[in-house]
Parts: sequence; C-alpha cells; structure tokens
Amino acid sequence: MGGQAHIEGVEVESQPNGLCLRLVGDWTIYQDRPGFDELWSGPKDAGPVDRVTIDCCRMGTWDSRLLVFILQARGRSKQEGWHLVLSCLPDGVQRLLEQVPEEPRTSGPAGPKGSLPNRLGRGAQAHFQRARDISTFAGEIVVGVGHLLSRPSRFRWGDCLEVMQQTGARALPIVGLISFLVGVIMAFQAAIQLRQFGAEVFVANLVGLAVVREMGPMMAAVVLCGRTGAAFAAQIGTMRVNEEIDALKTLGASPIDFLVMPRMAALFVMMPLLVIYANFLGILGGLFIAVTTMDMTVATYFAQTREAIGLMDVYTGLIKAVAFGVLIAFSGCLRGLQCKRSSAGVGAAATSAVVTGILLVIVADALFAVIFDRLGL
Amino acid sequence: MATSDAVIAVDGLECRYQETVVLRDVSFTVPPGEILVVAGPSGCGKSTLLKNMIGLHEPYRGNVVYFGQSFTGAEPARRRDLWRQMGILYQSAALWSAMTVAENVALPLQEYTRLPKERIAELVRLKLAFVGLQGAEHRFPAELSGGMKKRAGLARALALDPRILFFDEPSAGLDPLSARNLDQLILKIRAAFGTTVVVVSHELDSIFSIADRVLMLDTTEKTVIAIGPPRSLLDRGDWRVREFLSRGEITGKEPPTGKGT
Repeated sequence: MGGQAHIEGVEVESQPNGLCLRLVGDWTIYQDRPGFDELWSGPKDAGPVDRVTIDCCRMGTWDSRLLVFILQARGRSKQEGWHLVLSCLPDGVQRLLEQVPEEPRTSGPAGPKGSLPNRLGRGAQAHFQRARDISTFAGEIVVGVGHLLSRPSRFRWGDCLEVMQQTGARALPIVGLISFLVGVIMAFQAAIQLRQFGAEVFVANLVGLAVVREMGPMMAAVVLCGRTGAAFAAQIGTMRVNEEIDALKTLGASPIDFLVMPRMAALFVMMPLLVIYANFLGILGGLFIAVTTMDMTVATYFAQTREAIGLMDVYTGLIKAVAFGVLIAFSGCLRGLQCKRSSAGVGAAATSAVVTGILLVIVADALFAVIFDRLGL
Repeated sequence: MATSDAVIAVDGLECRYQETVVLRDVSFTVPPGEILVVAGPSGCGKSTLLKNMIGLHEPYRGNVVYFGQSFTGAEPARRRDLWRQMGILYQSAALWSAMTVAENVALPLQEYTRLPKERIAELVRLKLAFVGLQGAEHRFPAELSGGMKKRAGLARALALDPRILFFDEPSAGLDPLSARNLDQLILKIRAAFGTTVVVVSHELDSIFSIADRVLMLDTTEKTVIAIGPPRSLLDRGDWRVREFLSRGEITGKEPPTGKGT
C-alpha cells in the first residue's frame, strides 16, 4: 500500500508519517468489504508509518462488520506500535469497543494430541474402559435379576406388559412378513438345485430344518434389533438427556430395576413366542412355493416337514431365541444408558444399539452352533 | 406513537390451542429502540404471544406487522426477509447440540450472507467476545454451563445484527449474578445498535432494570390489562399489576394501596 488507492469501501490516502483510511459506503455484513490485514500489505510497502487514521465521516450504515475492521486495526496498530486515530466513529461502535476490549482470538480446536504410543495407550485405555462398563452393566443386571426374584412384588409389571405388547404383538406383522419371504426364498433356491436330482420333495425338509434351527431365530432377532433395540436406546437416551435418569438415581431408585429389567423380562418372554410364530410363517413360505411350483400337496409337505424336524431342533431354536432376546435388550439398554446428553447422542445411541445387537446375536449364534455340535444336538 | 412509525405493531391478536382461547384482542405497538417486557403470572400466555409474534404459531385472528410489513400470513420470501431482521434467544438457548458454539453462531451468517469463511470466523469471534465467551468456540453445548449456553444463544441471536431481539425468559435457570449480567448485556446491545427488544419475563428485578415499558397479561381476562413504564404502573396501575409488580403475587400479601380498579 502507499500513495493513493481506492478499494471497495475504502479510500486510502498517504499523509505525513502515516495513512488515512477513509471508509465510504455501507459497512455491513451484506457488503463485500476488505479486512484490515488484507488491506494492509505491510509496512515495507508503506514506508515509515507512525500514525493510522480511520475516518468514518463519509460512511453509510454499519454493523458488526465495521467493528471487526476496527478491532483488527487496533490489534495491528498495537503490534506495530502505530498511533491509531479513529475519526467520526459512531457512538454505538465506541460503546461496543468498550464491551470488547481486545481483538477476539480463537482457541485451538480440541483434537487428538501426543505421540503415537501416547495415542495408542489412550485408545487401549478407552477400550478397556468400554469393556469395564459392559461388564459392570452385566453385573448390575445380575443384581437386578436377584432383586426381581427376591422381591417380585416390587417389579414394574405394568411397564413390562406394555413393553411386551410393543415388542411382541406389534412386531407380528413385520416378523411374519420377513419370515414368510425368507421361507419362500429358501424353498425357491432349494427347488432349483434339488430338481436336478429329482429330489424336490426334500425342499420341505431343508426349509423346515433351516427355519426352525437357524433362520427363524435369526430373522426375528435381526428385526427386533432394528425395531426394539433402537427404540430402547432412544427411549432411555432421551430420558438421560432430560435428566430423568439422574432424577431416578437421586430418588434412590435403580435405573436397572426401573428401566432395564422390565425390558429385559419382556424380551425374555416375547422372543421365543415370536420365534415360534416366525418358524410357522417360514414353513408356510416354503409350502407356498412347493404347492404352487412343484405340484406337491399340502399333506406331503407337512409330512416331510414333520419327519425332518425333531423336538430337539425346536428346542435349540427356542434356546437361541431366549439368548437373542436378552442380548437385544442388553445392547439397547446399555447404549441408552451410555448416551451422550444431546440429540445427536440419542441418534448415535440408537445406531450403536442396532450394530451392537446384531453383532452380539451373530457371535452368540456361532457359539451356539459349536456348543450344540459338541453336545450332539 | 403512530402505528406507521412502530417497529412492531400487534393488532387484535387472538391465539388458540384447538378450541382453547389463550389470548384475545391483544393490540400494542413497539417504537424503535424500546425495550418492552411482556410480563404476567404463569399461564397468562406470555410465551404464546411471543410464539405468535415470531411466527412459530399462526394467530387465530389478528395481525403482526414489522416495519410496516405484515408478517402474519406473509409470503415465505417476505417472512424469511423479516426473520433475518430478528434475533431470538429461546428459554433453553436452543443451541444445536451436534454443533460447536462457533458453528452455532456461524450458521445464520452462512444462511443469509455470502461472506467468505474467514470473515464469518472473524464475526463469530466478535460476537462471542461481545457476550464474554472468548475461547469457547470449539466447545459443544453439552460442555457449557446454563449461563454460558444463554450467552452462546445470544451470540447466535446477534449473528446477523438484527433490528429486533426477542428474549423468552432470559433469566430462567440463571443465578442472580448471571441474570443481572444478561440484563446488562441487553441494555448494552440496545445502546450500541439501537435494537428494539421484546423480553418475556416474570423476573421483577429484570423488569425494573431493563424495561422501558411493561405489557401485563392476565390469566383470567386473557388479554393486555396494562402497558406502560414499570414505575408508573406500580404507582398508578390496575391493582393486579401493582400486586404483581410489588411481589404481592409471590408473598400473597394485600396490594400496597388496597384493591380497586
């Protein structure tokens, strides 16, 4: 800078030992106006400067945009040792300058700091803490079960029945539809393969066994993870955001007994019932394909199914169902209670509940496969 | 003051929730640069009046006019233009919890101006410094105290240098010192920018320290029962107003000069 220049909103005039910046036009956030540092390319271009004058006499309307410019000028003048003269400064700006004594500076964003081992250590510590939280929660549930068994009259039966209705009866349409379609898909795929060997009649065996031992519990569990696990996390998370859980604690009531046990008990009871229903609909899906595409009669299909499925197959499916129900309630309630105190936290808790629930269900299913194999079931 | 000179003119406003009438026949004007406090006992419709004035509820009847332009039933573009000239501090501060304080304050600037990022950052720092929140840019609302949330909400309300500021119970949940600081801030904003301010409050300390005029609503009559400077209402107003302003409502004592209309 130096000599005379006109920049949008500013007329620059050289004066003895300094510069005069004459602000013209409106200086509001809706106009394109330069920052002071941008305007000032540096003392090396300007020659010796002792004094900077900012003249607002010909300026139009103003708002915070002007204030930012003046604060930048004040900060730079202090840094360079210039004498800053403010001419015709509006009263309001003068008052605002008193309110904001220094040029506002920002703080650095919070983020990961430290060396790689440091970060690894912190990460490991965080994982350990998470594992500890999960163990603590599992322990609290065991204590909660103890409370339920020792003092059943204090259990919140009303809440439990309401949750049973929501998670059981209201889930029937979606569980039924998905199970039926899975039965249809399995029968259709099996029919294509078995037709090559003239063994289409075994479609009933395949569908029946797969549905009762694996697909029925798994499909019901996946649907309930998305439907019920997420709902548990969102409900409890919202209660946490609204400090309702804090209020429970300060009343001396255990959030586990009050919120978690009714949900856990509801899924413990409803999940096997839903799985029986899912099994039935899955077999019906297979029957539909067998009857419509393979000329098989209803009686033949049911006879084949009865021959293929033993009572133990049904039991193994129901054992899994109980375990899956407990795991879904566990993940939903855990993520709800761990929810951060914000609306975004509630969303994250619901997502996390679904992911954790599905993961736990699949891991449990794999373990059951090994255990049942070893037991010869 | 003539309606045409007023920054805000409310004319024959009637507010209902379904069939329940909350307010009826509310009319008043607010001149430029005035601080008007809407006061009254709990349930008298203070917040309902505010919601109707800022367009969160549509009035059942009547009209709200800003700068001579009708706001009630206005086209979306005009509404947006008028909203740009309003800053609102909600009772809970209503900060967006997934955003940092700086992002909260920057959002109105990003929505309504074409300023580059650096300019917006400068303005955000200024607003935060103005409300005394320097250094809190990167903190999330959940990490702030109640008073800090209110101040961050005020910085966001000031982001576009509004010509009208609305405050819904600004002192709610604050300790006396923070409440007084917030009142001082409101006075400074008015002095610096000449902003017209409407405050919904039942805090008597705030009413007497900031109000140019008080508009009193009544639960039974569901309308304005008095409007004027707080001191003159206390001296010469309706007995219900005097009772409220002299803390009779809180203490349950008889009004200072006996009941009468």
